[in-house]
Amino acid sequence: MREKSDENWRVGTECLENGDLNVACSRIYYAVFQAALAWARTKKGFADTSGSVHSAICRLISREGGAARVRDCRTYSQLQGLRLTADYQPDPPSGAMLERLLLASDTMRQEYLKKAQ
Amino acid sequence: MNALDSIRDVVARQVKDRFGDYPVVVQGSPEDPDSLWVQVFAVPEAQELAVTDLILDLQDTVSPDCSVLLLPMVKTLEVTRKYYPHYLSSEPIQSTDHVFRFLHQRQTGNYGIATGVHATNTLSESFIAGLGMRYNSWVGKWSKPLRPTEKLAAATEELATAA
Repeated sequence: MREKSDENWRVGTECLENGDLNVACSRIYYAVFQAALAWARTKKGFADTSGSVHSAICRLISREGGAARVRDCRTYSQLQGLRLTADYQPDPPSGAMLERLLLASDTMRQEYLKKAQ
Repeated sequence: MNALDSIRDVVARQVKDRFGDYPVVVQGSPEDPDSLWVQVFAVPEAQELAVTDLILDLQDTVSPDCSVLLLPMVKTLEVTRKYYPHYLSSEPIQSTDHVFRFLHQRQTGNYGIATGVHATNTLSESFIAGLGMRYNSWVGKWSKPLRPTEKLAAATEELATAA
């Protein structure tokens, strides 16, 4: 999953620089999602493949505890809200909000990829 | 009322209590029955983060284990004007600040803040005078009405009648 997460992150940040907010948001979200999914599968025996998998990952993170729990849940919820805007709503997701989330998103992504090993 | 409905109501009420000016719609996500889209419209850019933070804080209050997940979807004024204009014209008066803003728009012709434009146009000149408020353009503020609660109720009634 690392390769997929890295690829999504690279494409997402490039799209963000170009102002392509819908694609940027979707790719950046999936970069983080795939890192968390890798951790959930390898360390938690997570096997959900339904449409609810995105929220189920957030619930798993919230049950982890630890200092990073609040930060990670907040980052993930916001990214998910932006991604849902890109997927289902007429307006593009907020570029300013996505910019603000970049650092926390990459930190979270790297941590979950590491935890998945 | 089930737990999800009750959380939906609490979230909508809390956002209204804190940011009464902005229309709030809380609805289920098409991807997950236990996730709620918390959509707040007509939010000035400077408030976007504060509204988002409130929704994230509410998560810790209403469902700390994320069994019901709140997903913030905050729409700025610019986005609301372009994609959701219906949320700008049917907004009811919710606070004294609303009345102040309507009157400010009426007197100055500044419709930069689009919320309440429809309502502004229905206020009569005599009613505005009757509120006993004056707009001080030097400081950019309205004086307080003498009896805010009664005046606000009267304003709401006049707007409802005019509509």
